[in-house]
Amino acid sequence: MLTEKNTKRGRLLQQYVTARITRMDGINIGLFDYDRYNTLYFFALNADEQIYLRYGGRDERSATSYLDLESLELALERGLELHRLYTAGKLAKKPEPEARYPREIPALYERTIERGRCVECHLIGDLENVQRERDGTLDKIAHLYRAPEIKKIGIELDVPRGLRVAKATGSVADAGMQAGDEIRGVNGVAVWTFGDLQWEYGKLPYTARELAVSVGREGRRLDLLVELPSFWWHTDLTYRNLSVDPRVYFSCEPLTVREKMELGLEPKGFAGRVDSIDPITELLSSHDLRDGDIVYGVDGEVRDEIANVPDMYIKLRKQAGAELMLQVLRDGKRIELPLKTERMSFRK
Amino acid sequence: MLQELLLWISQPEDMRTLFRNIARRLGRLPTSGPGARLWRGASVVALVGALLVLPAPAKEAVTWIESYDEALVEARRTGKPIFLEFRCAP
Repeated sequence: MLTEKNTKRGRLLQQYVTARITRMDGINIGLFDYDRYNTLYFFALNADEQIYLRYGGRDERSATSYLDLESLELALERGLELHRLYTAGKLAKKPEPEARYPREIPALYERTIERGRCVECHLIGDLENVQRERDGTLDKIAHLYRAPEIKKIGIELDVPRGLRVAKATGSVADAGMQAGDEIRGVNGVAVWTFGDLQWEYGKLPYTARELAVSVGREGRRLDLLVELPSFWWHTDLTYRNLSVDPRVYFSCEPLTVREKMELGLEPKGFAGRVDSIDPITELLSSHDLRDGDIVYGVDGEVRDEIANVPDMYIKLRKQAGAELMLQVLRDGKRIELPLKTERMSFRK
Repeated sequence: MLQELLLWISQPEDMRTLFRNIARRLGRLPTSGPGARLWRGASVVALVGALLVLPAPAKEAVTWIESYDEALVEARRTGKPIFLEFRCAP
């Protein structure tokens, strides 16, 4: 989209050196680290490569849920304020992250640079994980679930007004957050945009149980401690089409402990009732599950320290493309059904 | 005088300059008598003609550098911060 110079946004942009990158070949991806599944992502920084803020971020529903022109203008204004502080020596320098380049990821190099193809952002995200899978270092929770949903903890933003809270419910409301608050910091780090907020929130280890959030309210700063709900880090990965994410084409709702005990199943197991089957299943011959089936085991495993349903267990613990055996309770009978997972592929 | 007016019309920096110049010139014109009517008429004709003939002023867009290294050099030269966009397709 073209921005006219003689508009508010144009006047703000002219106070910056504006640069647009569509090929990542020579980019320091250590410095410009972000969730690569954003259609657009911006950084405000200076000639010393000190990043002031990020503008971008998304949710599982849409790439543009948190992008709009008013919040972009706000981000541009804040970037300029931070630059003034930096040049006046009033903003501390951040440590430089380790430099990394796309050519250093063998799986990415083979499929793009070596073939003269464009190194697109999402390919970095995907092939970085393929390489980790090859190296045996892939930690699916840490590496795939990178953009936690703030709505899961009850934050609804007034998007055009940046980090102004439109509605606070659930965990954040319990911690004291209110509509009208302005989010200022996460885990002790100042945040200026939704991009900053999601980035800092995403750095939290999945084992974390609390999130420190600072808000501004009527000229005061309040520090809140938010108790995180179970699976706060979990999002639907479907839109990412990750090569390393096994497609299972069914989903389950977890059984309660009481239900599991009544059915004679492991009380701490991940048994779940099938509540959705993807219509593509028949075409791919991936499984013969039916709505209402209870899947209580995968290849003989019935419990996991994290997964609370079998589809999550497969996504976290199995490789994409794996052929598995499901232990299923159907009409009171225990049966076994094969499952063929799928490995997705981006245009590579 | 008419030549000057036409010269202004044919070489305006923008429409605002054009109108400012015409207004300034009109202020120096005779305010009564047949001369005044002539100049007023000529000015109106010229203005209408200008509006019909002249292209709308070009809307200038913000330009984006397509090289990060060049952006760094420019930021060092100007002291400006950088606003860097990553996008999948140009």
